[in-house]
This record gives sequence, C-alpha cells and structure tokens, in this order.
Amino acid sequence: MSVFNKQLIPAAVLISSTALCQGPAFDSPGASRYFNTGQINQFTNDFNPAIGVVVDFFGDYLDSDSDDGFDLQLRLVELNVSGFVDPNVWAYLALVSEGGESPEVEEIALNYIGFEGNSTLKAGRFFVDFGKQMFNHLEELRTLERPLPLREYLGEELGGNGVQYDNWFAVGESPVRFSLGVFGSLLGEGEEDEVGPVGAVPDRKDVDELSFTARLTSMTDVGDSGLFQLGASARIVPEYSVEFEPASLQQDGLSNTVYGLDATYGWTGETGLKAFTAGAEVLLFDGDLAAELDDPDAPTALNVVDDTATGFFAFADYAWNRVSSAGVQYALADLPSDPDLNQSELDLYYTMHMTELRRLRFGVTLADGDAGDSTRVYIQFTNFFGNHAHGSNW
Amino acid sequence: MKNLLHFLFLLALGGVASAGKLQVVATIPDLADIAEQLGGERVEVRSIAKGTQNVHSVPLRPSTLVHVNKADLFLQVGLSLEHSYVPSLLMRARNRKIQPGEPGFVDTSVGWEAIQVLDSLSRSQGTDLHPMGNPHFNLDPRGGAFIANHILEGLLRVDPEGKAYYEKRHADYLRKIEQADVRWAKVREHLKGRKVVTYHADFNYLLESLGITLVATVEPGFGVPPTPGDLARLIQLMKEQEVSVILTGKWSNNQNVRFVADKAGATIVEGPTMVGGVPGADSWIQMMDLLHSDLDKAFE
Repeated sequence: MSVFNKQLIPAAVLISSTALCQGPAFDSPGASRYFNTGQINQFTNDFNPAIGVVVDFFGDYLDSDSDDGFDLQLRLVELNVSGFVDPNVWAYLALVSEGGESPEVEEIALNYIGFEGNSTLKAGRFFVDFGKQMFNHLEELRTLERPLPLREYLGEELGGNGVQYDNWFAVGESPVRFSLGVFGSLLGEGEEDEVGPVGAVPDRKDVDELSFTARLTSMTDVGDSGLFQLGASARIVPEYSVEFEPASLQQDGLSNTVYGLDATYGWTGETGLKAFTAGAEVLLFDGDLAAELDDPDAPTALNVVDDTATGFFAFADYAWNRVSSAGVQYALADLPSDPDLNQSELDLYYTMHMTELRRLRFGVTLADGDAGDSTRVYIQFTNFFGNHAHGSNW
Repeated sequence: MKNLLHFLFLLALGGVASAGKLQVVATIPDLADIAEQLGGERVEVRSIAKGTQNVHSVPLRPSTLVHVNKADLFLQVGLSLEHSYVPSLLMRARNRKIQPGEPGFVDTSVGWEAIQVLDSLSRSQGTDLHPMGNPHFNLDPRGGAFIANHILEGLLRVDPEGKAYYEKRHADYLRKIEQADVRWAKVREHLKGRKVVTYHADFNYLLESLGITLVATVEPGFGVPPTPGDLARLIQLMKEQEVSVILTGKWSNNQNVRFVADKAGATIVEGPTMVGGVPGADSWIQMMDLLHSDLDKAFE
C-alpha cells in the first residue's frame, strides 16, 4: 500500500465518521430527541410533501375618475406545500408574495381527520369558510378581483388564526355540511390597511370577544347532469376598537356581523367538457360598519357608522370545451362608510386554459356608483408549477 | 288507499332489500359492469363516471359523496387514472372501510404490466401524465378478465359468505369473455398491420392487441391541445403514412379531430372509451365487440 493510501484511507474514515456524528442522525446526550423511528431525521426527501408555485401576472388599462393609464404587474407568487403529516393529519401551507413584496404566510393549517364519523378539525391560520368565494385565493377566482360586496364587507382576503370544526351528514342522497370557526381576530384586510382609522382587537380577550364563523350548506343532484347548492354563512366580530393614532383617538366596544346566503346551480354536459354554472350570494353587513374622522384636517373625534348595509353578486359561466369558457358577473353593494350610497360592478371575461397548468384570461370590469366610475380592461396570465392544493371546501 | 299502502309496502321492502345488499362504488362504468356480473343480486353497484366522459376529469355529484361514504367496496382502475379526484373524494367521504390498504379498497391495476411507463418525470412530456404507465387497460381485450379477478378478490374479502355465489358467477363471466375472444380473434387477423391516429393515448392497449400501428396522436403531448402547427404536421404525416382512420372517444371527438380527418381524407371512428360511451356499449363485452366491429368496418 502506498504512503498516499495509508494516509488517505484513515483520514477519509475519520472525516466521514465526523460528518456522520454531526449529521441529523446523531443524538448526543441531552439533545432534543424525536419520537423513535427516525422518520423525521433519517430520510432525506423520500417523504417530502408536494410543492408547487403559482405565478399570477396581469396587465390592464384603467380609465377612472381619479386615474387612468396602463399597468403591468406581477400580481402574486404563491408557494404551496401540502401533504399528509401522518394518517390522521393533512396539512398545507400557502406562502404568498403580492406585487413582489416580502412573502407572508397566507395560510398554514392542519386538518385532523382521525375522528370517527365525518368530523374534521382544522387549526392554524386559514381563510374563513364563508360562501363559495372567500376560501379561494386571488388567482383562483373567476374574475380578477373578489366580488364587490365581499371586498367591502369582509375584505379582499379574510384569514385568521383559529380553529374550525367541520362535519357533514347525509339527508337522503344529499350531503349537508356545517362548520363553526373560532378566531383570534377576523377584521378584514381592508380595515387594517386603511390610512384613516384602523380596526383592532385586544391582544387578550374574553371568550365572548373572540371572532366566529359559521356555515351551513347542502348540495343535491338535479336530474342526471345538474347539481344545486344552497348555503348560509356568518362572520361575527363581537368586540373590536377603532384607533387613529396621529390624533390619539380611539373608540372601543364596537361589533359587527356579516351574513351571507348563497345559491349555485351547475350543469355538466354529456362528455363532461361543456359546463354551465350560475350562482348568487346576498350579503348583509350589520353593526358598527366603519369609522371616520369628524374633520380630516384637524380630527377631534371618531364618527362610527352604526348601520346596516346590503349587497349581492350574481354570475353565470359557460365552458364550451376543455379549453374555453366565458362569463358575466354583476355586483351591487351599499358602501359601509355610508350605506345610503352604493356601487356596482359588471365583469365580463373569457378564460382560456392553454393546458391544465397555464391559464390566460381577458376581462373587462365596469364600475359605476357613488364611489366613482371606472372601466378596466385586463389580461391575466396564471401559471402553476407543480402541485397546488389547499383547504378549499364546498 | 289500498294502492297507496301497497306502494308504500313495496317501497319499504325495496329499501330493506337494497340496504341488505353490498354497496359497491366504481370509478368507471367498466368496473361497475364487471362488479354487477360477478355480484349479481348480492350487490348494488354505482359508477362515478359516465361512459361518455373524459375519465381523467370526472365531475363529481353530491350523491357521490354519500354513496362513497356508505360503500362496502370501492373499485378504481388505478395506475393514477383517477388521481384528479379519488384521493380527495376518499378523504372527504370519511369511510374507513374503503381507504387504500383496507379490505374494501380494490385497485384493479395491481399486477398489470403497463405500457408507456415513463422513464423520467417531466412536464415537458405533457400535462396529463401517468408515471406508472398507460392506465387505459380497460380497453385491452385481456383487461376484462384481469379486472374481474381483482373484483372477485375484493368481494370475497368483504363478503366471504357469498364465496360460492361469486366464484360461480366469476367462472361464468370468464367463459363469456373466452367466447367473445373467439370473435375478436377473427378481427385481429383482418386488422393486423393497419395504421391509425388517435386523439389521446387511450386506445393503445386495444391497438396493440389488434396489431394496429399507432402512427401519432392528435395531442402533441399527453393532455396538451394541439397548435395549428401540430395539426399541419400531423396531416402531412398521415398523408405520408397513408393513415385512413382516426380513432377517438366521444369526449375527444372535437373540432381538431374533424379538421385533421377532413384535410387528411381520413374516417373518424368514434369508439367507446368506457362502457356506455356510445349506444350499444352497455356492458364491457358489448363495448369490446363494438370497438372490434367498428374498426373492422372502417378498414373494409
């Protein structure tokens, strides 16, 4: 054996054993220990969850009372991870960067499915179970934006840290599902981002100050090719405050509730490629809807709008083959800042699935009402790289 | 009033009888038909997909959730044919008896030697990919018996009391397939060496059994719609190779297929891709009979 080999072999053994000792497989006395079978620290990527990325671009032309012109935007990038943790728990993560900003955890939830019967318990941060649209992420909507009354009353997106119990049962051949959710806070995104007064909930709360959601829905077959779904939802914020820090103004003891009633009809053709869907949702927003400064230049008090606002949206969508579909959506809503005023939106769109993983959409949104008139023409291009799954429900 | 009471009595009786039967849910009507052939009066069978649909993306109905929740036996083709909806359906239906690995779950593809097993996994090959191979073996003349054997095993696991009944019906069914295969063998002799184009790779097993060469598919990649350039190249290829038949299913008999057939001077054969896919294909054996006879006629 050469000198080279005599020195190299022990050195290689020493280095590799050192590496093993420092690797994840080695537990030194007192180190944190995993359960016992090495599933966490012994396998490399054999059991990794499914990972996917969604990229959503759009370009649009806006002609409104206050602004007009073209824009191109990387609207969002969503990193999606999902998989079974063990036989009783399915988990998912949606990490989203909007407009190229730092990513935020939009959803991360564990779904426990180990109960006997049809119950599920979901825990983590997740979108609310309200109607048919709120659990969808932005890129999954039929239109570029969420329907107007949902944006105005619940926010563009509404997620919270909480726990949700879900159960379904059969009435004849129709499934009926209900859910109850408890959250630390469910103030809409829009309310938190406003330049004026912002809503807040106390860090520590009594039980009756937690926010709640509830949903009851049922689907039934209609003939050989159709289905009909009816649902009712509620989002309750029993305690929140409004603050305007620059003038040290605060109003406590506020509350509001949003109720929704949705109906959807779906029909699928003989081959499953042609499909027609039509639906509507009516919303009622009740309680302390908004707060405004008495004098924007020299505020001395917060004026809370304690009232009731109503709104609805209705849509119809027709897919005539595997690739193409088109639709129309109309929405009308009282404005929370003044329920005597209202705004409407009409959306027309054509969607083309170039493949299952690439989607192109052309649309126009016509807004009209007391908040201003505008016309927006847009092209939306959405790409799915890999798996895309999160906790959508029916 | 007497008639009403009589009707209600019969309805109640029917309900009791139905409740006593083994509840079987199959993903496609081929499996449902074969389960009915074997299970006879001891089973009540439902299919999730209709024969005319694209088996890769089946629209689920509300009642499907309830049926799967109450099922004693769940049948799937396997080879990831139903991966777009079965995993989430089984998770939501919350029926422990029919989860994969449990006695009530039957994957009929276990042990099947699949063709077109992917050497590498890349979306560059298409979007509708089946890593374990082509899953459309329900259209292989050998597929009926293979599926029947798996369903028999499943029935015996969940209803051992019916062993003699199921085994007798299974043997009878295999005899019917053997008799049908005599008819199909004559067609094989006639069609050997012919050439066809299909829309999707769903008839590959059938074509291989018939000795027919699949020259190309209208889809340039699995699940990828063709571009005008793809269609032009395909038409040129069909002319060069003198391909006179395009075999397609009902769901895939679309504008592109008709355009190519028109330009290449080919005949379209709209064959069933599942039981019930075209009129007259009411059972698996009838479906295979139709496929053989339609192709035979197309090449006359």
